[in-house]
Amino acid sequence: MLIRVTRVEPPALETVEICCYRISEEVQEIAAFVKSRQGQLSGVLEGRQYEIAVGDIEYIESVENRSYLYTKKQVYESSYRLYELEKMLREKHFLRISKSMLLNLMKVQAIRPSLNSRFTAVLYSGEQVVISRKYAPGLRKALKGGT
Amino acid sequence: MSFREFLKQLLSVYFIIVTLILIAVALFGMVAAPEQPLYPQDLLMPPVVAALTLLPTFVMYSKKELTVKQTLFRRGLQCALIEGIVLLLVSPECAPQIDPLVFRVIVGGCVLAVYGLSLLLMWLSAYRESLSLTEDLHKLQAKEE
Repeated sequence: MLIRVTRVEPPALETVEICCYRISEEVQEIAAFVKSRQGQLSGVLEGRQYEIAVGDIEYIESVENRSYLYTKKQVYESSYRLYELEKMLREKHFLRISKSMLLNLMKVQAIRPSLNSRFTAVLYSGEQVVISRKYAPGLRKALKGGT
Repeated sequence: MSFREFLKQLLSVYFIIVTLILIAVALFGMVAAPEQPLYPQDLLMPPVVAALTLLPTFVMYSKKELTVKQTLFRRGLQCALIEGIVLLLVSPECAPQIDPLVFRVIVGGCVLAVYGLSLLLMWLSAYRESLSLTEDLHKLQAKEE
């Protein structure tokens, strides 16, 4: 695929245009990456596709190889695998907190110790998610040194 | 958690237990047998007992992370095993002026108190860390907003 970057001046809109023979998985992936960089992700709810602001996502969970985006009110299914979302959202303060979960640090109100040597993240929405012991050093690193 | 990491964690718990046993022996001795002489070899008792009582800690080892229920069950089992080991090790003959049953109850109570205190210390350490993490988290959120 040929990549062409052209400078524009305001008031022209900054645009990413993909010209392709067919909308393949690769093309969809590139489009999703661009969206995520702009702070949006696509998610499916009851057969309809929605654009979700990354800032509205509290956490992302993977269940049986499917990824679900949890917002305060809805749960959307994403076509991306957790590791792909992890890569896409690394700079948006999303952090892996267990084998199957990415947490939006901006939605966390407090971190509490748990009885089984783990930590629990209490979200502003009141929901609680478990931070696995294995991923706790990553959290410390992210908070002390930035993601 | 790897077995190596588990052993490292065990070592820190070992030193906490040694300290707490020393405190318990001192308090128990002052109350129950203040006239009893303390010989240099008696000082070997806390590290040896701590090492033996740490053996049941291996019931806490698991490659997979334990759930709260599993943790509570294993903690109970660990505490019961420690009680068993200590009661086998510490003979009522070392304090003949006390009734053997009362002696066992006191020793058992001390073991339970030491076990509870060590858990409390570990929890307090985790609590302190969680407060520090929460503070860092709020700083990060303020910076991004």
